[in-house]
Amino acid sequence: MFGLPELDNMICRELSQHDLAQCVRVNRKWHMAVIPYLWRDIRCGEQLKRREALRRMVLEDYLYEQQHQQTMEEKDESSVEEHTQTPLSSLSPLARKYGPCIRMLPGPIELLGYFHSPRGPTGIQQSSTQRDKESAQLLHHLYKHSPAIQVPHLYLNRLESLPHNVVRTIAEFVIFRVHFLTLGGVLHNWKSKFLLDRCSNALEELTLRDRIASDEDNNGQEEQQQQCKTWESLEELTLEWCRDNSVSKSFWSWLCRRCCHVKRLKASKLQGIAQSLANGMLTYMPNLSEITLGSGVSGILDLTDDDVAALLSGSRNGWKVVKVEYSAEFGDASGKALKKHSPTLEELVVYGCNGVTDSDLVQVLSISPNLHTLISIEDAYYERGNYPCFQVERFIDRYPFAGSLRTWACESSLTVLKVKLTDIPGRDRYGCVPETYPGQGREIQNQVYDRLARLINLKSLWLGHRPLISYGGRMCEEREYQLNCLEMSLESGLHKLAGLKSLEELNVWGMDTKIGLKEVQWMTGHWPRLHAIFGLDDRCNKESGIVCGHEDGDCYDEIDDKEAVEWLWKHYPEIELTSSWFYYYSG
Amino acid sequence: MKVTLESSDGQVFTVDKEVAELSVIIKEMLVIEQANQDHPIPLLNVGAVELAKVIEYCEHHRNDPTIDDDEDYDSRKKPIEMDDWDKQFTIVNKEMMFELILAANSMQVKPLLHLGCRYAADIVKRMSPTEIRDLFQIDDDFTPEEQDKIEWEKQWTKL
Repeated sequence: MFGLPELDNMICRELSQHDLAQCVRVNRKWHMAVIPYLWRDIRCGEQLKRREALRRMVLEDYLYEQQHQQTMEEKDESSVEEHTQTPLSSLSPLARKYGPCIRMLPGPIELLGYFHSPRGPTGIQQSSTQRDKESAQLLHHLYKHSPAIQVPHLYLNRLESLPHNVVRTIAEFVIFRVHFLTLGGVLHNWKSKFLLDRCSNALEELTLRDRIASDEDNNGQEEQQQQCKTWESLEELTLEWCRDNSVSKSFWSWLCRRCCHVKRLKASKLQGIAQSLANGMLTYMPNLSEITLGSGVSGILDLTDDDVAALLSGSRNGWKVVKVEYSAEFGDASGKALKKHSPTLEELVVYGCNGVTDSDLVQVLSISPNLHTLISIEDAYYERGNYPCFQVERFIDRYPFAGSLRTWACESSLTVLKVKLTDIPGRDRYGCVPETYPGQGREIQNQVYDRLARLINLKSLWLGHRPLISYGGRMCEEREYQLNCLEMSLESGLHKLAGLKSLEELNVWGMDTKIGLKEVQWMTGHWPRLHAIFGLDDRCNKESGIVCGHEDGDCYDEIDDKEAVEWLWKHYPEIELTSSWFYYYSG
Repeated sequence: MKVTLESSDGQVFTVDKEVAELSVIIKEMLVIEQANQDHPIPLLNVGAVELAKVIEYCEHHRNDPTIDDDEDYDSRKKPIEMDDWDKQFTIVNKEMMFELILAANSMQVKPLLHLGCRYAADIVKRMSPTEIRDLFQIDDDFTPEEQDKIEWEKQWTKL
């Protein structure tokens, strides 16, 4: 176009595939300049016409090559002196011509689907096996002529059903370019090892999914003796739906040896492999520092307490980040295993976790000197309404006889604390815990503020949250209303938090607080970095129509809140009052 | 501090140093030739009309944050926002704009180059080959065979 490649590049990147197709037809110069961009990305998406066109192009190209080879052989045999090339077709093969321009192709399984046309690749009625064979040949042909493709992601599910020649093609042309690889299906067979062995250092994340059972060969044993290569960039390993049987035990050490640079492990739905995996982790994976156990999406418990404990014991140098999701069971054994990692632990996320208790969490808080984040509630989906709550006395954590607060190791390191406190007595309302003596509620609240005031570097403090609970696949907003909670009023001792100078975010959603005008004035005066108070405006927000805990539908009965919110809108419009999360997820 | 620039046809412009430094080339030259700043910097590929226009652009954008610019086609970033001033600025005839693109390219004024290329792309968008040829006054130099070949190749690239 301009005759300057860098300018052409800048212009072509602004043009659509359609525009590029017009530009190549302008003249020779434009054709030369634009054609590489036209061929750069030939993914077809949902467009059946383009899929069919791609199939035909590869097919014609393939047939051309076959025919060409044949004539060349015939020529050789009859040793014709003159080297005149018989034109097979006036049209030169496209894939070979433009293949080097191609960067993005559909994935191999997708391509096989396109090539596997019901009429057969050649248009003649064929048996299914014949079609399989031919589509595999076309796949090989296309990849062979596309030396510059990029394959950031590759998903191969049902690996056992892939024909051998397809696996070989993928191994030869594709697998070493992959950055994010997901392998599903029977893993402990030659195909998975064959493919995994050919992954290059480009590999960054590996996910293994589905059962591990079959064992087609036993060549593995020889391999184990050799020096195996490792993936240097592989930092994340995900294992899902993996089961074990007696013959596949060796697979874990085989895998772990190659994953020696992995830092993050995500494990869910493992059956009977936790121990062999943990052994492999301990022996071969010294860089592990982050672990996510279980998943939030399934209602089934899939990691037992023992599994969790085994996996938590699998880090040689200690975990920094531990996340436990709903489907993992966290019991005594897990608690003990986690305790050992307190010197290194920086982040613990257990919202939606099954079985973790406030005692476990207080223990973590009191002995982890590097802990900066503890999250036990979140604006998130919950599988049923199960999340850990702190019984208030446990959270205050006093010495039994002296009555003074126990020192927590994380007092100066903690920046994010998301907890729900329960059982604060004293509200004169139906459903509240009654005081055993007058003034007990305020006394307890004072102690809570004392505890919170020690966390001097706190940036984010959540005492309330806005959960979405799934009931049989349907998401419902949980109108959880905290009655036995902190009042957050100056009378109840809020002023004790004046030292939290780093506080940026306060969440009191769903709490029966008594935050009024003077409280928000005090907050903005004492917390210079404050930019969000979530949950304050719920009772005033007519549009949302949410009337927390009140059945009568009167939005304005808490007149203090309304005044406070209006004052904030006027004087601190930059302070966010409703978390965008909710609108985002509830649509 | 002032810097003087000389266009290919000998006209001399004096601008603030920070304005001139929007051009990567000038910035580099200033680093190398710190000593003799008295001499005007010669810009052999840029005419006076274009240079004036480039300077106008740089004056307006002197305080913009610099964009780091890695030219990888596949890392399509969000296009740079065009403000009203930029839109006004691009209302010139297309020959002028193409001269400007070349000037911006030879002086390496990255934001102007991006702006110009977007402008050029916008012109070409949704045009047929014939319309493009008419606009740029270029001839169709394909032979009939090549024409056929392109028509054939087009079968699957067309949408």
